[in-house]
Amino acid sequence: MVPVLTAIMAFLTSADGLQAIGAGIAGLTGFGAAIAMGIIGGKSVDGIARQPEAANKIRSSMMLGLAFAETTAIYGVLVAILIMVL
Amino acid sequence: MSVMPQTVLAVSVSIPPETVFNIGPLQVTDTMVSAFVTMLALVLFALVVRIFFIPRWRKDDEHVSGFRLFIEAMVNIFDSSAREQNGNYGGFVGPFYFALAGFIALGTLMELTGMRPPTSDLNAGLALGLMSFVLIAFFGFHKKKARRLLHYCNPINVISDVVVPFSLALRLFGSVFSGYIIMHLIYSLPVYLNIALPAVGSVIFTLFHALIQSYIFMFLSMSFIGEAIE
Repeated sequence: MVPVLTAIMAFLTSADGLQAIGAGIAGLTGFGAAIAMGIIGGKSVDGIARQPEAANKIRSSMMLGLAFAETTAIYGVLVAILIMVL
Repeated sequence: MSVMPQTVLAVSVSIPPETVFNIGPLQVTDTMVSAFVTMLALVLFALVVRIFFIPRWRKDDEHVSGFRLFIEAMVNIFDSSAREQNGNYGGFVGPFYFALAGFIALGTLMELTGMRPPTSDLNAGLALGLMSFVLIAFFGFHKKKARRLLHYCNPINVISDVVVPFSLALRLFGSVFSGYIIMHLIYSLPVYLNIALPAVGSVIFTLFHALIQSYIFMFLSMSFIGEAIE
């Protein structure tokens, strides 16, 4: 068991390992984006349930909010890709 | 034993596109080739529809084919949302973003032919974003004349206007390029794993991105123009 652990530790502290850890941390942006998307979806369903006749307006501003929330997740992916590829 | 995850899934994808050949000082890259193939396909499709289909559709209103319904539905989506958000400018904004969204959707789908999609190059996204930036500034000044300058007294508005092309470009590039890398990973899986998985993966990482990103690009640009002229 110990040689495996020392090999893993040696990999994690090497340049490649630190690169992989950095990319993994950059992937954590999905956390915030997922919370934002959940809030947006939940609130817009709330609004549509209260006022079904305003569904179209609510849906279009929901799409706008979703696009902005998705952007942060995409930036996280972009940073992770840049760390891994460069 | 050595732990080397890189050797399991080797991805040979570079962020800058590869140069295929040179015309004098101009480097022609693989994304440029696929961009020109995309544009050629779009222009041919538009010409064929205009020359062969539309005169026939004008003559007879009784027989409605599925293709006609599809074209009318697409045109209607862009026209109605442009008219709703941009008012008088909708007559220009709608067709313009129909063309850009067609380029983004078909360009992303070029991945299915094995070429590198033009939208997975940051330059293509930046060019499309700069077009939107120019349109936003032009319509803003055209509608409100010098009153538009009052909008720029607040430095936050200057930043939020300048950042528009970069946010549009990076959003498009990030999502398409990450999908491209994931599809490369799936194609380079060991044998038996790469037989049925691409059929599932390309639906999520290529078709979905093509439709969603073209819709989001069109929708965000139209709402930015709508904000500028209101």
